[in-house]
Amino acid sequence: MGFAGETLGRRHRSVERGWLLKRRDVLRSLVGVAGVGIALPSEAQALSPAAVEELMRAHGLEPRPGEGAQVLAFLLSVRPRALPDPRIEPAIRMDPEVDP
Amino acid sequence: MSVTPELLVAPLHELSNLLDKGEITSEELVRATIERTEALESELNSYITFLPERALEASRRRDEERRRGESKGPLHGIPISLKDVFDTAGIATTAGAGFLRNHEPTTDAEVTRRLAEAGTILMGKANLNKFAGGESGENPDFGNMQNPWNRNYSPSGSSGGSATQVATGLAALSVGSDNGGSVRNPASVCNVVGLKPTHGRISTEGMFPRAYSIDHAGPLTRTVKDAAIVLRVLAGHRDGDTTTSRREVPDYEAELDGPVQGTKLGIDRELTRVAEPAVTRVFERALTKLEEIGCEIVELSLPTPEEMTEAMYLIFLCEWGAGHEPWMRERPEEYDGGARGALLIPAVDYLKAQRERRTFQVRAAQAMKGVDLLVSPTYPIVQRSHRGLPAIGGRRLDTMDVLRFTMPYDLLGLPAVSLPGGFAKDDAPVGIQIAGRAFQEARVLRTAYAYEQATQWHLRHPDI
Repeated sequence: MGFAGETLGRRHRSVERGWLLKRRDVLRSLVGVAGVGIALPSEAQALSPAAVEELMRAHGLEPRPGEGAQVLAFLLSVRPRALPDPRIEPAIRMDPEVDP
Repeated sequence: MSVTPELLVAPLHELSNLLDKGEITSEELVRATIERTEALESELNSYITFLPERALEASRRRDEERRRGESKGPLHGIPISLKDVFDTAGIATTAGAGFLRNHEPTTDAEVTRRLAEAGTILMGKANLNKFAGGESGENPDFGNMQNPWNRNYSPSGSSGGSATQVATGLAALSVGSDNGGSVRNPASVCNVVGLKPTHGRISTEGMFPRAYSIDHAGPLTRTVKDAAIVLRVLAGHRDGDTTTSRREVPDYEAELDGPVQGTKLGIDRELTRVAEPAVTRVFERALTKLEEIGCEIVELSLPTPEEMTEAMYLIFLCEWGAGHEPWMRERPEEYDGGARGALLIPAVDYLKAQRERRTFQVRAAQAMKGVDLLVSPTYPIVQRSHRGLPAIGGRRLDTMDVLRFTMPYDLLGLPAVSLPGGFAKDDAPVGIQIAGRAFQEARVLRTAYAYEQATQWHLRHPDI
């Protein structure tokens, strides 16, 4: 396997391990990935409506009163639990034939 | 011949024949349609924008074209409506949202363009659930829609206005959108035909975006034959349209009369477990009738709606968020219940959901290997109250429960038609759904047509 493949393989194993060992909270991942200059809060803080409102502001969304709690509930309700095989191509349509 | 209310609910192809023979004119048809709309609309609330003057003017033009021998085909001079998600140049397109009531697109959606080119007459833009979301038949900005069979109930949604108009003779055809059952569920409770074709069969260009990879446009008609005629007009690719397949478009009408003897219809009994008893009774009678006309019922196991829900929600919410992002930022008051959280779902989760979707496609294809088509009820409840969903077996149903028969075909992208299946009681029609493999609309419609001809449920119309 070439270098790129090895790298990809490691990444896949890492992703699988991450999901299989312990599911991280979506919000924690979000804060970590977003790279918006917010210090990664503890899990308890990340799960607070106030932290969600901070995250919303970081994404350019000015929260309305009470919206942090609603968005938090929303995000928790859509957390994926399935573990699809990472080798499966996602079902996103991409037609390489483009009309000019 | 005068255009009576009874004639207004005749199948589109019969109206087309009368126009061809000169027994009625488009102007007479449109005048009668306007009168009926003005008489019923206060009860039904089926339109957001009604265009009587424009329609009358267009009808005279269509009659003149016909006199010159320039008929554009079977839809020439036929009054239609469009769910208010299709762009119409110079005519408001609201998607059911009050803040868009003055939004006038500068170009037509591809569906709008094709229907105009086919000679139809646009009567107006049909009411719908706000943003085409949900199946309640409710709209806080433009008012709730009412079921023509019983005005105490909803016509379901989100294409509730469209189904109501086709059922009552306010339009001989309407086109709706479907990404969970929004064409088929209202068709079911209004006793009309609602077709959701294969993803990519009908263009969604210029259709208000909800979730691009599960969005479908589809016709609502009074008969299966009408659906076949309209599908041929709407299906197909045009240069520059990125939403359609380049596959050839068959003559769906010509293929209706083919044999159905020996057609294997797959049924998943686990799927039909959640339904009101009256729906189950109608469905079982429909299965018996399908066997009588030569179909064979085969039990099989499909991916369950419960399994699919997670992927469906994630894909829908991410694509919806991407489509609505500017409004989510500028008009937060339009998005309550934490819905703006759609903008915060990680891309990784979206891709995982799309990966999961692929596994469902493969499992469904494997399950369908031994059958030609799939059959189920369309909607698990008989009548949809505006006050909420009923309970079955002591458990209150939620939205995903009532989309359990229709939603899977949006996620899988497969064609499915709802057609009149029978009646739970005099004012409560029940639809059945027939689905098939990708781009096999002709086969789906042929079996639906055979059932329709053997039962004649489609000839019952609401007493309004």
